[in-house]
Amino acid sequence: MFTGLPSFRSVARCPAGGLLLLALPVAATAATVEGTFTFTKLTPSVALVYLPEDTGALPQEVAISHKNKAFTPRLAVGAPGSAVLFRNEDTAQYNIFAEDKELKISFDAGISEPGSSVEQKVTWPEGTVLRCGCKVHPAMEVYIAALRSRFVATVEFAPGQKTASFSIPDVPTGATLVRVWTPRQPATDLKATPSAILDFTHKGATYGSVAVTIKP
Amino acid sequence: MHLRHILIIFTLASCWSTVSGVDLAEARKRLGTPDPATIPWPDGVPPSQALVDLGRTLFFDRRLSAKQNQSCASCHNPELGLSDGLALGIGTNGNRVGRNAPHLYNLAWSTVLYWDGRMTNMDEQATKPIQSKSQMAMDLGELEARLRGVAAYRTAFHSIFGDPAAPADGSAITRERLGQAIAAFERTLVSRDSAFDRHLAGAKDALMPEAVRGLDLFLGKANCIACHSGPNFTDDSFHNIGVKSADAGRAAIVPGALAQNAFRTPGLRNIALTAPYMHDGSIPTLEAVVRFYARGGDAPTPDTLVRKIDLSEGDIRDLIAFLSALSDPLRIPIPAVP
Repeated sequence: MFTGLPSFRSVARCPAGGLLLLALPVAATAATVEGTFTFTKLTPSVALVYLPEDTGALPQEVAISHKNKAFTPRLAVGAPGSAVLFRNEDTAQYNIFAEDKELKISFDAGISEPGSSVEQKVTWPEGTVLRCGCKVHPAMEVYIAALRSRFVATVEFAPGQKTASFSIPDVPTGATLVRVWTPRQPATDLKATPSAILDFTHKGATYGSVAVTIKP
Repeated sequence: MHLRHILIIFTLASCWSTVSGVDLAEARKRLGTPDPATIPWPDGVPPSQALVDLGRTLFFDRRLSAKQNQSCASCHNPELGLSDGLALGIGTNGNRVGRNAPHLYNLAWSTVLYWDGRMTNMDEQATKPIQSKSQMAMDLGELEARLRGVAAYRTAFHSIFGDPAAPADGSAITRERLGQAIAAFERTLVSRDSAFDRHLAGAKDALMPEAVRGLDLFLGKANCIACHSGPNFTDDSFHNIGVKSADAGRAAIVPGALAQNAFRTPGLRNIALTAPYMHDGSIPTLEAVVRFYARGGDAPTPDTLVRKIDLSEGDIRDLIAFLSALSDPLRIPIPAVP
């Protein structure tokens, strides 16, 4: 467990192939987690990287918009208790819902009219990820991770994209445990001392990997 | 230049590119020609030609139905727009099927299957109509045994799936592989060389003027693009468009107000070949379909996309001309079934 850290949250987001760094306050003694996902096939829609030992994040409002039959972002993060606000920024109607027997989550927002919003609390367990969709636009999906960690990178892959880099700045010096999650396989912990590689496999064949390094 | 002249030029330019406030150039970007390189193959790998050929043979084999009187191609007939020309299909026992047989063009990209989207995996879906009591009514165990009795199938399945060191004794024939083979063939049914595709590629004489006007209506006033978007002219979503029907549609799979009486948006490639239309085949012609949308449907719907459209007789003709310009009938060699 990390202690004595400032209560900020550094989120590096990589939408549609570009690297975008947001909200990067500087810690006194800090390292940076850097890494790259590489896929030869079966590229996931999103990927999540975080330091699971940190628990400093507080509940907050998480905004997710839907427009043109897609959610933005496609991977969101909120500490348990956070309020997720789904905003319909389209001229069309939607019906946001989630149905996850394992997480025991079932909600149906009903018809979401243009310009309207619906709120859903993050009530699923810390460290788990809920998939939400739309009942009439089945290709739409957004993953919402319940995390107390303040050190998180979210990656969103565009169609056809094979690689994406990420960075989590200002992590505590000495941190080595990194957790990686994609929709296709469960969260996996890596010990980055200072580097580690995780292969993604399907039916015994490797289809991608992520290389992680913690730089002082 | 005088201000009035500038305003006139600006107004003319606006008229050129917009209809009913829609930026047509921008809307055109929501269509396209499908790129086979983007097909989401199972496990990310295209099938072998041998698997596709096996699937083609199975697709045309009447052994797949209980009474051996119809194949997949009976309801998805290459001469009838990969459909059957009927409002509701006919099963192996001579009964009517509950819904219209959908065409299979460019299904390789589809993220949802069936009118109600109850399945998403083509390999798994391919054996469902075989088992369906109202369709081919065939027990898959019996079918495996039936196919194992055919030397050509024993050899084909063994060469694709079997252990080369083992004998081709039919043990390689399984229901899962049957589905894989049929779906592999179905994914090759790609239509991408219509007059519209040639127009997109820059051929100035590809489209009749009626079809060009129809395209503008499709993107603009008629707003067909709201649902029939993308290279395959479908949003792979569900809409209650106001067809009078007791069929719950999507709501039987995922209950919800918008899902009630909603059905999957069919892709429009080769749509002129696939009459009749709608989930129940209740609308016989493209003209009748366009008039149906123009009057805002025939039944109340919560879907605000469905509303009356002020279309002239010429507009209706032009829309039909455009929809017909999406035709690219595939030449599908009919295999010699063993």
